[in-house]
Amino acid sequence: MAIYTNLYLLVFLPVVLIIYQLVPKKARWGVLLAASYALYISFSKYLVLLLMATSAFTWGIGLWLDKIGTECKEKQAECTDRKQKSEVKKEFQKKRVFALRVGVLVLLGILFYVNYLNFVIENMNLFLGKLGAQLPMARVMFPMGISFYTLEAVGYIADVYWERYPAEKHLGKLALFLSFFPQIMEGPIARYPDTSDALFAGEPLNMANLNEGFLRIIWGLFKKMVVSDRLSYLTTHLFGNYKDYHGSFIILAAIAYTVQLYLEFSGSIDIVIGSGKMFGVTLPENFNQPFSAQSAAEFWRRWHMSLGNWFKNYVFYPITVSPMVKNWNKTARKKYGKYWAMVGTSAMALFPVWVATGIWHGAGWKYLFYGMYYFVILLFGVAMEPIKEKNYAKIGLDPNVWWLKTLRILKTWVIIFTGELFFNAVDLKAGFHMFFSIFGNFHISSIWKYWPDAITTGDVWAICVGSVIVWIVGFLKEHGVDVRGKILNARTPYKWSVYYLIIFAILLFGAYGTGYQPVDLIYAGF
Amino acid sequence: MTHDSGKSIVKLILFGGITLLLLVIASAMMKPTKWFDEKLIQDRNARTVQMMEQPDNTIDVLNLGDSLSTAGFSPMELWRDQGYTSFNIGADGMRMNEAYYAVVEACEKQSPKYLMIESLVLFRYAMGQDLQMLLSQPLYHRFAFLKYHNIWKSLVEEKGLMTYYRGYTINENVWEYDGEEDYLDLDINDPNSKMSISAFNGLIFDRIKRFCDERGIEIIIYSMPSAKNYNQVRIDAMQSFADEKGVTYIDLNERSDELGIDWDLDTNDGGDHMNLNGARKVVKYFGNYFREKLSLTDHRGDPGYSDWDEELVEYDKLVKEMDGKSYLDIYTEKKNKEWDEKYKKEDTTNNNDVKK
Repeated sequence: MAIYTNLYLLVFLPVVLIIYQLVPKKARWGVLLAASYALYISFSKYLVLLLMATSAFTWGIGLWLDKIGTECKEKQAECTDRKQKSEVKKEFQKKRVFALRVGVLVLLGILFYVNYLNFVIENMNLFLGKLGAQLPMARVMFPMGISFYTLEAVGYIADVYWERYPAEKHLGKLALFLSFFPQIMEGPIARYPDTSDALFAGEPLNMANLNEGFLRIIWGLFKKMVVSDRLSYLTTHLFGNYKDYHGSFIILAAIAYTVQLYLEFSGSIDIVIGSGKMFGVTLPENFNQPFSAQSAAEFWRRWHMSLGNWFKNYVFYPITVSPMVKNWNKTARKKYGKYWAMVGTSAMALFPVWVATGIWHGAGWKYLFYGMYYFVILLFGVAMEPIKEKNYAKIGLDPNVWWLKTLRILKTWVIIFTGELFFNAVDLKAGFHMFFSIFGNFHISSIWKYWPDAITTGDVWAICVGSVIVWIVGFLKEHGVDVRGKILNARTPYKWSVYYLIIFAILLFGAYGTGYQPVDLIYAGF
Repeated sequence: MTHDSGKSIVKLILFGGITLLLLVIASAMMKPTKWFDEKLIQDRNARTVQMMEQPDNTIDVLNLGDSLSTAGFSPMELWRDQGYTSFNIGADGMRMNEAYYAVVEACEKQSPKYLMIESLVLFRYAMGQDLQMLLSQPLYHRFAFLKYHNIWKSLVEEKGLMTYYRGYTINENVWEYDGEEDYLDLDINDPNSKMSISAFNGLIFDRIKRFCDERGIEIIIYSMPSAKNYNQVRIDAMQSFADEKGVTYIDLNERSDELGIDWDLDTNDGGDHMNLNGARKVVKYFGNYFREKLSLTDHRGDPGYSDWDEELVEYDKLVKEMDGKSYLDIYTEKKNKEWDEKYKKEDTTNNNDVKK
């Protein structure tokens, strides 16, 4: 039961809302947990046991870390001098590191087994095949949302280790944080303090939250059903038959897929955030007008923000402040100067982040390439930044002049479209084939000459008009006009008119009905 | 209940009520044959809409199922052979939920004597999709606005080429089946359908049967000759199901010699669906079957059914014009012709590059 289906929107969510409101405040978290597991079972059946086991394991590791910390403090209290205290701390720190390692390794080990083991076996077999040997492929079931809840669990353990907050004593509360039903499929990846209190508070439903959540949900449905799902017919055809197309069609495929992915992912996140809001839970935002970004780095601060923040908090920063990187920075400054030390340090911290970002999306060389593609671009950006600044100053050019901003945005679009071309290609080889075929036999006219039947004139109209509406709303938000806030603060007749307008636009122009194959959520597969 | 929460509940009810009212109004406007030409509907609902157009109580036999049923049964041929009136109310990839409402809608103005159900529809099952349909099909049935919402596309798009003759579209394409002769012994690997009938589909079948029993409609389950979709396992499963439900089951695969099915000539896609040749043989079999049962009236010569004779002339004309082709062939030819005319100059300069 995916979150965009009528079963979820017309039955599951309203029923959970009603039960939630009817039960006593203290039991409401239980309603949310039961609903989360019920929804999970509808996808992954008995694999819910893995989610439960992960929750219990994460909870146990948290308590273990807490216990070590408490014991350490007690022992330190018994110490008479500083040296003794420091030795006790060292001794317990070893235990804490051990607990952290056990927690992280087990969680990532499960993720590796589910997501990557067969990829490793497949590649090992390429070599072993030459020796006449073959490893059997593992029979692995994919538990829905494992990439999302594993990162949340690892983040929780790391935060408890760093004593950013104490370990959660209540297993149910942590289990609810890891399994909250709107976000289990596609995120956003939250940190424990972001949502745990609101999830557990059991505040009664109120009209302000219901209104905000409802508007968010129908807006998300508009993005997905009117634009994204229609685009998927085109992109599935073009990427699936990539050898038949080149030149302008490949560019069209890259642009269409990027728009499809954005509207689908941001649309489903709107449904997720809207669902959470109805229960009074504010989930973290995942998008902030990513196509207004003026650089690849800025793009990643605006696109899938919760994933970017996770890698920043739990990979980038820890590496940056690690003794190895600090030592290297110190030595490099002396040996190669400040500039190269900065570039080298950035490379050392960015490389693991982008390897991880790439393979987090899936087991495949194309995903690794996707990560490396952004690593190279971002590192190049870091290396060029001081040079650019110098040059702007030299020629007396204001870097914030409008046409330069526009050029930077367009350059970022080219980077994004190229990245998504590889991301959605059948495999890395197909990605390169498509990329190089852009430059052969480029005729813009072939677009309408060989327009595929997969998408009709009506679909094109719906896509164009829908995209323009979404773009206008985003443009206004980027320039400080909060359209959503204005609607929510309007008088009821105006507010409801907007609701009805969006609802009937979806019902009339949405891609649904008997015979339509529902388009699965792209990120739910990661 | 506080004053505020009472107010909120009233607001929620009011909002839901207005939504419902708007849907009812929009559905009334969207009802085909009232406000717009039903020919604007060219998708899977085209057959339902044309069914609604039939004069009251003039259809003897309804033929239901997925594409196997619509490709392998031509009502115009049954009219020619026996003078019985029939209509294909199936659709590509039809599932049981949709099938139930197709029967309900068809019987709004008709009192057929027989409902023929092509059996593959009973094997189609995927829990998630079918549960979704359990909710959506009643909504599509109640609200025409939801069912025909795609009608706006007909306003901006070229009209479809297909002509439906009482739910049948002519396909004369021949693509022979080159697999094993004894296909009933083979395994079937079809991701879209199962090898047994799910309890879910059984329940919906019971619902259809109750509906038919109340109206005196006899159900006949049959399996269309299809080398790609049937084997002994499915036929046995279907036979037990029909026995359990107390309905007639006719398997045409085991009777394919009796029908005279020639797998080199009677299929349009390598043994999956029947073409016009195959459909004629299937219809001939059922024509004789109904004649022997003496339960249907030959309407030929009845002035109330003159539209069938007129349509048969058009049908025969199109059969001749199509000259061994399918609509896909005709569509491709039309597109190629358009491109050739539009881009003749450009093509000569581009050295007829086959890539797009």
